[in-house]
Amino acid sequence: MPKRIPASLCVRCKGYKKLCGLTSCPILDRFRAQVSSVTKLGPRPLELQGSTPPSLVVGEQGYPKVPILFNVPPQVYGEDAKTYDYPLLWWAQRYSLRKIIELRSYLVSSILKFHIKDPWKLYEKELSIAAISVKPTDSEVKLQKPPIPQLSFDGILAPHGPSAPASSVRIVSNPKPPRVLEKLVWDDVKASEAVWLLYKEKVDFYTIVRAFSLGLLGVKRNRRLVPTRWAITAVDSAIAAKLLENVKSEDKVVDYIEVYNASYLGNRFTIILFPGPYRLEMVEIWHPFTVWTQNTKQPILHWVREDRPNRFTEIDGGFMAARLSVIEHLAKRRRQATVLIIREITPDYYAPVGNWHIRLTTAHALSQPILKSNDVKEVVKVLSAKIRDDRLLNTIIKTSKVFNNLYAQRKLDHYFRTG
Amino acid sequence: MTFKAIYPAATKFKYIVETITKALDEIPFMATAEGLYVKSLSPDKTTMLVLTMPVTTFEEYNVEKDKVVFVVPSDELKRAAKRGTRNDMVELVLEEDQRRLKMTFIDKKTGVTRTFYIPLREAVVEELNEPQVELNVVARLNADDFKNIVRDAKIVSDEVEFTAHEDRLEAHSLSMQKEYRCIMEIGNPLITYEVKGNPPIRAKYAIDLLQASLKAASTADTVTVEFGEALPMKLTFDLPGGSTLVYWVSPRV
Repeated sequence: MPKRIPASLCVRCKGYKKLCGLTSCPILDRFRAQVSSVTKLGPRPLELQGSTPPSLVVGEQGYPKVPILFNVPPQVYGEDAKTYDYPLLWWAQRYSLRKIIELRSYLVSSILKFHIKDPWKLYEKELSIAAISVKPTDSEVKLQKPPIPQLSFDGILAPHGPSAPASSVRIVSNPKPPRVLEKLVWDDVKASEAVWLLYKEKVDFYTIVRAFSLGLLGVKRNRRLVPTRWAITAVDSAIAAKLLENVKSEDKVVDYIEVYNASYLGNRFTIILFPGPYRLEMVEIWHPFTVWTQNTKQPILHWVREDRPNRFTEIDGGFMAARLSVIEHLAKRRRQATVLIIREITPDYYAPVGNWHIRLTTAHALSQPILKSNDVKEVVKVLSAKIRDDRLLNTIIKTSKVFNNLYAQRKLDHYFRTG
Repeated sequence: MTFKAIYPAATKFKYIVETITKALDEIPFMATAEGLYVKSLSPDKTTMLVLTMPVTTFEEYNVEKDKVVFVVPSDELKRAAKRGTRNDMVELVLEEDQRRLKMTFIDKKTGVTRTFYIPLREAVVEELNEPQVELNVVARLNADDFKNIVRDAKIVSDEVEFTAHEDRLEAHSLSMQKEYRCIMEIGNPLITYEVKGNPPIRAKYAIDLLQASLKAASTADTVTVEFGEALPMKLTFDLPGGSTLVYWVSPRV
């Protein structure tokens, strides 16, 4: 009889770390089989034409010889293609999970294999340039075999549609990369510095990720292809590290306990900023019947902590994405804060679609506080209304280091009164 | 002009300003016949800063009312104060009708003057008391030694416990599989040490809060550390020219 995998392990793994010891995630495999692609390849299934939004993913299977997935929506050209890989738009238009999956299932991934030390080969074929273009680029792909109509899902990347190995990929229109990025491709600047420069120039986050992933940034002799999953977390943490330097140098803290809230795609985020030095704690509450908790009756809690700046209990893609939004917020306000993020995942989040929505929803939540107070009781009352499960809230308060510190730390006004 | 003061050394003034601007957004100055004061409680109410610049530290000091209060934005003040050189003295003149503080650097050798006008902030200054507590432990040590203890303890944990025994003071910090302990005795490195009541006396503090005071440690030679059983810690830094800076840090329980 096969051994049952505990849901707490799945919640930590999210189908990516393979903590159960199996070679592929059984939950994702099952899910993949249920959702079929709606792609129409037409009468000649081996020839694919269309504009890449741009969308290009560097896989990690077989590292250091990694697959490059060049994604094209068949027969979709120009600006229309952009929608297929445009998290900002999906979020702004509040696309449903169903709509996102549908969009992504149109994208056909043509797979090429490259050694990580050969980023320039991709550049020569203009694939890298097309991937960092600000507008969709027309392309022609010849596939070796018809793609299997299946989607693959992931906790960090957006789902991608049917895929097949490609015999050739040709870029047929002129890509238009951001000027600052075009310059950095030929500069010998450290990758972290380059990421920071691009961020400051307001280059789109995912364009930076693609440039990083395709080895277009960094000291020239050290350039490598970087699997996109790793690149997303690397870019998240490179930007956050720079912003955090500024935040840490600020001796000012937020004036009140502030509570923020937002939800999207069945994920409810409650962010609490406490006056205090920068610390971050995130708890994910996976309610029963979500993608990783199909067989549980109780919510599963997963904690990730940054006990000291840049020291994490574990590296988690979702945590890093939420963290960047929080640090951006603090840097903008030039304040430090001790932060608790509560992410509730409800059964409405039935398919993992990447961590982009975490970054965007937390950033949106932080635009307007729902409560500003110095009374912890008031804060707990608001949390109780949001979480709607007092036992669960009690467990969170008891386990949270941020709350523990808050109760342990006396205030000086206590001694004015008693004096 | 309701307030005018001349501080003899611009560089020392710069250090004092840098120390307080580190902790505050706006600096609420209060000038009385006894001297110039800043008293401010951090927004999270865990630390309090009290700067005292007695009249004797100024070359010239004149205040026309019993009490004059004005609030200066810390970044503006810091930027201007930074421009002082070792040959300069600083003249501060409050121009209440213009809502600004006039800061003039006067070169002691050449008499050349440079003037900055800093706009005042409209803010209500709260009358603050200092914590009313009896602190049974008093120790004096080099400010640098204190700075090292805080930095050492930070490697291990985010809080440090001070324990005063009859003959020694211990700083101890503990986290999973990591521990730091520093034993201080008279002469090594304590300059003076006094314990009243029944030792051992213990109190725990967040290292981040103690760290906020370290900027003052780089300006001062010595620091007097005072605390009591689970009571706030009072850190008194003697600043150049006879001024003192007191940091109150609330304990953890």
